[in-house]
Amino acid sequence: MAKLYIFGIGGTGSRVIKSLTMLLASGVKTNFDIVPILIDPDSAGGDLNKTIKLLRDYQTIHKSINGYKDNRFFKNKISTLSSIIAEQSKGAKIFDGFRFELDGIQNDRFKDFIDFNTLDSNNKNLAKLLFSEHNLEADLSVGFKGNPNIGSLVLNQFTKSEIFQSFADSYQPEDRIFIISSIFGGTGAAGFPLLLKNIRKGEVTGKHYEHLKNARIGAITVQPYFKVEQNDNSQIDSHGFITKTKAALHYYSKNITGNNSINALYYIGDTANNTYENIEGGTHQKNDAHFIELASALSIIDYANTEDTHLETNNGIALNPKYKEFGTKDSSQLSFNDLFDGSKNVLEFNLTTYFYFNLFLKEKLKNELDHPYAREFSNKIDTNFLYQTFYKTLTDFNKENRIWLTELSRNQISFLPFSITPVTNEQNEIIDFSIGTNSIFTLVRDIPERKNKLNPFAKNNYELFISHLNTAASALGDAPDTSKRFMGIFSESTKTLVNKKLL
Amino acid sequence: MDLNETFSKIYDVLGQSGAFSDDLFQEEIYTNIGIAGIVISLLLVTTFYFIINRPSFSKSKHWLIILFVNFIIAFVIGFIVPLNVFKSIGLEYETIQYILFGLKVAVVATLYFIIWTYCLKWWKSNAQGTPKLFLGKF
Repeated sequence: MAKLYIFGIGGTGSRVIKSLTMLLASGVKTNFDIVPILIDPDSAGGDLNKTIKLLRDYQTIHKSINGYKDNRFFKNKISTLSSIIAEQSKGAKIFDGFRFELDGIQNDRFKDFIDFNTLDSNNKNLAKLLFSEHNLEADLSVGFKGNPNIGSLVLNQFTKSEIFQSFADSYQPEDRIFIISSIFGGTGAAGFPLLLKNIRKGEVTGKHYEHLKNARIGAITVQPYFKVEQNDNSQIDSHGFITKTKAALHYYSKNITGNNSINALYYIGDTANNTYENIEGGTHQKNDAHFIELASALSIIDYANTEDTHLETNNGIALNPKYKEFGTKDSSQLSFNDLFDGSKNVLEFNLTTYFYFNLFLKEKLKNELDHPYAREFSNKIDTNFLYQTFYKTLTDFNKENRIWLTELSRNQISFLPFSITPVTNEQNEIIDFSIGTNSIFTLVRDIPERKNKLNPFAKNNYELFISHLNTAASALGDAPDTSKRFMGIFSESTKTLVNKKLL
Repeated sequence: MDLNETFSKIYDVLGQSGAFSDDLFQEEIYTNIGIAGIVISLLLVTTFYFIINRPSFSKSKHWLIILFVNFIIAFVIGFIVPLNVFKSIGLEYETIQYILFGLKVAVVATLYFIIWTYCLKWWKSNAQGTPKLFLGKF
């Protein structure tokens, strides 16, 4: 299977990949094996680590049900670069994970990274000219705090690393590359042009890779969509976001779009009405998920679905580069009906079916095992199954999914396709959602429930759900194991339910 | 062997009532009551599995409710039908005779109900597999 290498640079990269993972879990599919590579100096970053945990959980679930044709959820394979290398028997031993570890920045100031103290006086003066005192004293372990001039220097090591070499070795002509970055920060703004330039060179540590030079490359560059609180002690100041964006776009117009080095470039941004807490990095930097990140993930799906013939490259030059933007109907609180057809077609059915799957597991499953779907087949769904690794991992993933959905609804712009109410802890962090009704088919906003008016005794709500589970279980019969059967009957029943009651 | 004889033997397994049983046989009441018991049990079992057919009414306790309804209906039939027939031809028996026969009819109808249950409980429905009176799937 062809691979789609996705480089997620900086915090935005992590958060977009998180949204992508949620989409793939809900049944969105590409024809590629997704290989995420997260490049973020902020190793303790809350968003980064949540994304990595999510990707690992996804892999665990996918592995358990891989190859079962009647399942729709978690269908798209996600691989680590190391597993690709192992499959191809290339022999190189590299990190087994999703995140590339930048060397020499742990607990280091930028001036230590460039060996400032050992420079002669002329070079010291040159460095002082290029970098402010704040820059030189910057703690690199929490990222580049909106300074692309630092980022471009530090991230240069990625393209000389063993990982980049392994990536180049594993890259096949039918594969594709996608780069996610924000344009208004430090890590993404610096990393994207650097990475693109090095891929297009087709040279890695002296070795020439012609198919890498002519690779199909797409990217999304995320423009400002939030502000941070004003804090005189912080080096991050959102007043500079627009200026930095303009400067970077000017640079891109010459070095990325201007020289046709990219096959498809997606632009996205929003008038920033929401203000995040000003945290420079580390474990506390956990921002609510944002619709812009979900829309950015859609760009990856769009790119993956683009025909090869539209993404041809010759001698490192894209022959027919595409530039795309994203829009919605005018609303401050988006429902599915506020999306245009392309986005709606991907999101509406998949997110809705997964929402009901998740809801049933959260609210009902434990107490509704005494039904045919659970007990009448050779692989029983019983309390033992609920204590197995597969189900526990799925429970963790689903909780993250609920938090993600609720965060999307709380943010500005709000994406609220379902009528859910946030459940928060004392720190006002979302820990779950509640629905406050048993009329579960009234939960999809702006889509009325289809009722059977001729039959007042018609089954409805959770009873209808269980009835569809029983029907699906009978139709599917026995499966190779319980995990596969479980996912199969929920895939089928949520599909028929949503089609019957809503869409 | 005709139906009247067959059903009389089934009901008499639970005890013969002398002249009362002879008159039941004579008036061919066994046939009517026997067929009624089989048909009503079948209808109630079908109602449980395929007409009510709801997850919220699919547990063993719900099956027992229908079984009890079947028992009551059979008892009433076993009580009323001989009473009416015998009265119409001027035969008189003590009420306890009618009650005992009603109970016999109800017990046999319960057996019919269980037999129908084990014929139909494997079919697709929201109560599929209910009840489990014996080991495993049974």
